[in-house]
Amino acid sequence: MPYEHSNRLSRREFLLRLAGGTVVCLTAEEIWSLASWAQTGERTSDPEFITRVSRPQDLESPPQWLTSWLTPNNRFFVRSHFGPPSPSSLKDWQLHVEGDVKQRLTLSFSDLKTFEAVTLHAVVQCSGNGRAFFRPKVPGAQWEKGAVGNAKWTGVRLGDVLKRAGLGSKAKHVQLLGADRPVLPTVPLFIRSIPIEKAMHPTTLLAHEMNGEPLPMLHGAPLRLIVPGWAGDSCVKWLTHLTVQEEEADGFYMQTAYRIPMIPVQPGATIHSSQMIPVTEMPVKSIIARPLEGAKVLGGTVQVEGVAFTGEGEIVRVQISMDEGKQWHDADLGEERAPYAWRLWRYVWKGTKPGIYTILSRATDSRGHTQPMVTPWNPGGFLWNAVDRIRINVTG
Amino acid sequence: MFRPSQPMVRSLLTIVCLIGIGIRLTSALGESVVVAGGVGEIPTTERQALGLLHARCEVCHSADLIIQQRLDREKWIAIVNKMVHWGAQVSPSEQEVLLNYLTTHYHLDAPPEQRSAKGTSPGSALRGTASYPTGESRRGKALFAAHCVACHGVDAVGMMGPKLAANPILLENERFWETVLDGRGAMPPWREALSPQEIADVLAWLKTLE
Repeated sequence: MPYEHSNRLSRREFLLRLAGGTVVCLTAEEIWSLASWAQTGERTSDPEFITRVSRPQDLESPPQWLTSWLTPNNRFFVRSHFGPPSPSSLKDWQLHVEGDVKQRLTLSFSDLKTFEAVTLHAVVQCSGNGRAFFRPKVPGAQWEKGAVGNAKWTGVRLGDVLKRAGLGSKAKHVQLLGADRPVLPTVPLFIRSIPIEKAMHPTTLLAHEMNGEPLPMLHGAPLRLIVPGWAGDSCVKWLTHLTVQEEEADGFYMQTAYRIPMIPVQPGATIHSSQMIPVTEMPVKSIIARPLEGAKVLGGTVQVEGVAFTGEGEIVRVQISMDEGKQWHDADLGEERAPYAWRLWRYVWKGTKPGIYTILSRATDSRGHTQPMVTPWNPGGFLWNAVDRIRINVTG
Repeated sequence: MFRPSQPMVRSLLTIVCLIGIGIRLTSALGESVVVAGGVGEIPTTERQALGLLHARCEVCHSADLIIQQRLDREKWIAIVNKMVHWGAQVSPSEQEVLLNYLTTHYHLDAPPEQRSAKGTSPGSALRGTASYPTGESRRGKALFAAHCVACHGVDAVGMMGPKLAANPILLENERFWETVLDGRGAMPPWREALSPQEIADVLAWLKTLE
């Protein structure tokens, strides 16, 4: 593997130290680099986040936050495998472009800014958002609804950077690596890749601003990838290395994790690895933000609202049902819209009588894709997009 | 103007801390465990498993990732194998202890994770009294090697966790016991995994280090 766990212990050294014998004083840098849970010192995350994992931090937005067109940075869900890298490892940050290119590039942050600036809106959603709803249950962070946000991203096109380097004849994939490192050197690095067509797509962005602010550390400062329409596992944070190559990235996080069956499978089934393909595009999805699950709501007029988004194309319709899908009623779509962004929606349910109700929401996109009643089971619990549902108690 | 007195602030803080501890205990374990002044009522294998979770699993990730899972034995075996493959220091016999614990508490039909605080006020029998057990450093050395070395390093010189050799906290009984029993930051709570006597043994050994 060409990337070193710099300032880290080899497995052997680590074991030796565990086993005892030698007294070794680590340098402050070593201690800091091992202490990936030290996080960033940024203490601005909203305290109302749902903590799925406290170290490394995985934070989910509660559903009621999914009512704004742009998700504020301090309310945007947080997910990574190892937590942010140490600040010192980013001190002399550079972006390396290598592999099958005509000319290797080493770009500083100011070099990057010489490329044409691009701003776009895009949903970023963890591919495991909704994993908690799969039955039988599958391992992994048990995200429910809120591992998703919509932001305005500013950066430069990945394609422009690759064009400057010049693609070689075997350029089929671009491998992505960030500066984050696991606690133990024996844990595989988070190495991902995207196909060259997606890398050269004009909306695939090396982003350094989020909602008009410098990218926060928890969201990948100084540079992360944004792949509009694709799930978050491709949107690698703290980027340092782009490698152009013929093959998909090797290693656990590309070849084992973040893969789904290419054919429908029985729930709970074991699937051969040759039948699994990488998670890429997000399927059409709507989420009910309000009322909350189990809420007591005063009868008369009940307002139901939320967000809807899809991978390619745009949301053309969101429908609400109060009778388990027998009748569907069109919700009003919000005015703010952009390719790859989400669309707010709202349905005003008038003449509501007291009782317990299940409310369903269902989105349809411009390709005619509609949310299913149940998402086909997959062993990683990825890409949940079933019709959303809440139960509420309407009181008199 | 109303100004809270120092003791009042302190007792308010204590109440807040105790509430916090109650939440932590139940949320870290997903169930309420009755702890009457120590670990007397927890079976030995459970204590051993909790010790392994703290010392071998929580080196890399917090316990909440574990206790939110609801999996059958086959899946738990696959996960433990993956972690061992990735460097978790768990021997085959320890794996068995861990697996039994995980499949007993976090199987497919286990109740959903408790997010609310309940259970007894833990450790109150110890906190605030001067009657900590007297430790024996010989036993403490072995306990440290089994439970603490992964984070605090050989001879407690510090690694992911802080250096403990000659650390002033060793002389501050209240703060030391609170940190060990209830955890702090990345430090897991050891209340159910180690007995007060065992903690005192570790403390005694730490005090022998330069």
